[in-house]
Amino acid sequence: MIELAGVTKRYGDMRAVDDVSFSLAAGESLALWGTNGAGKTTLLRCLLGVTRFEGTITVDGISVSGDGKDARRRIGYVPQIVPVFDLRVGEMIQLTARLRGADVRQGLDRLEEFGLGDTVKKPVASLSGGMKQKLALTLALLGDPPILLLDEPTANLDARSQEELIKRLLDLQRQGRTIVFTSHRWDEVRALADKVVVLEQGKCIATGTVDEVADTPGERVGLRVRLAPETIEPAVTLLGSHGFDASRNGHSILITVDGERKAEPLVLLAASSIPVTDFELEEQV
Amino acid sequence: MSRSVLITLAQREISDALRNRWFIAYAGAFVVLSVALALLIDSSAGYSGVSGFGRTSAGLINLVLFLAPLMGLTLGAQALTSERERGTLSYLLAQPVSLFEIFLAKFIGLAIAIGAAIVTGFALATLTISYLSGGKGMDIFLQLTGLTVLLAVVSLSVGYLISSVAHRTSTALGVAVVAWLALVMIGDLGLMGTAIMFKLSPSTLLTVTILNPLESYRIASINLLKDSLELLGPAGLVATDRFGSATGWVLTGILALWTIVPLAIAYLAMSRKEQR
Repeated sequence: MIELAGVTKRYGDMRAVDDVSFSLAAGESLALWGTNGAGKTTLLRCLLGVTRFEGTITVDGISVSGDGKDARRRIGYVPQIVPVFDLRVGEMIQLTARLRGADVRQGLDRLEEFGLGDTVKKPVASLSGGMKQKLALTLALLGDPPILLLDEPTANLDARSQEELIKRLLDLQRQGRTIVFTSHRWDEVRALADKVVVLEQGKCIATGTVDEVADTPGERVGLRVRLAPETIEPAVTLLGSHGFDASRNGHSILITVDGERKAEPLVLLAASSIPVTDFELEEQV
Repeated sequence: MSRSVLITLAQREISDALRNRWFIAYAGAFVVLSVALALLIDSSAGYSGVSGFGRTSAGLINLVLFLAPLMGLTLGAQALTSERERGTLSYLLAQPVSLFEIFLAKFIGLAIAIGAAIVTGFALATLTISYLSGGKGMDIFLQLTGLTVLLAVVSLSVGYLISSVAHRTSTALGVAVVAWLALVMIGDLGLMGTAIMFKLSPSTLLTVTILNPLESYRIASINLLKDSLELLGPAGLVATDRFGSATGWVLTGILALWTIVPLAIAYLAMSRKEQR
């Protein structure tokens, strides 16, 4: 259903995606797994055929760079953040249905099924995060595309909404849809993915089933460290100079580190008189 | 290219324009000032004895020279950058729609919205003058309406070009206002001063003049009012001398080029930016 061969995306000298290849059969689900900046969203953009790249991607036998429009007809896309159209929910469904050549009624029925039947006349901007995500899924399913692409689908949801969305996605997969999603949450990957592609700095460093990837030697964890704002940049520099893969992530630093070395960044920061106000572990591969 | 996609996106653009405070303010100002001008000119017609349409047209040209480019430039400048900033462009591109369809449909939608505002202003001025002074000179008035819509589309095209290369809406708007000021300032007076200072030959003066679409519009529209040739200015007189009866067509062609060339460059710039 989806075939990627030697996909590379460059921005100047930087390779955001570096020689990635994989294939996915109809009805399978695949997680693009990696930290921020690993190239997950860029790879989704390549799959949608909205950016130029080297290599080939075919969707249902159609080249996305040769006939992007036709390929996108087979793809429903759920962005991480639902864009702020100055429209009501019903108008948004109507707009997307007309662009996809789908029946508006189908969208309204799906909205009802998702428990959002009473929001048709509400502005999209007034919906909560969970409601927006359901709307995004409703829109993506217009025209019954066989493939769903989801960018960090649960990133902005509370625990209950996350669980609900994963259940819905599992239902859709059981109905035969092929699902590709990006994530940096292992629990989500384990619940939803048949296959995992692990990306690091644009490169595919591991691929296989969830269990195969989880058993890969040198298991790594994500360590999120909170610091005073003025110490974030010096801390990233310090950690980088000691060989740690550290990047700023909002008001904290995300460090990807071997599972057996997770205390080392904390020790290093303390020894350099950079106080850590809080930290948490994010399960990674 | 899908006609239904073009219609859907153009309709969305028109309804977005009708919700845009800038558009409402421009359209409202244009309509009110057009009618006010018609009334004002009619009230002074007794002193001059010149027909209402001719005098109103001459008055409207000056109004149009300020308002139509400002409307087209600023609305065009917001068109693509605001879509990018709100994330709506990425969403549309993820649908079975091509970048060219989005680009063209937005332009058509905005051109229809701006054209409708101008036609409404002119139509109400026409009704006012017809009611007060009869319908003499109406054909010229209709031609002037068409020419004015073309000027607005030219401005929209230049605004679109600004929008395609700017990263932020605020930057695009700033550049659009500077472009508007430049086009208005490098008008007849500026050119006259330049011609005297640099001793420009008539052909050079004409070339420099028609490089400014506002001047092309001004000369073409005044040329319609045959009884007001003294208003043409030096470049206008050179143009009528050079092109004779084809002056209107030549200048309209130049305005058409001013629409097509910036639009083509804007598409190339947008395509490079979005697909990089």
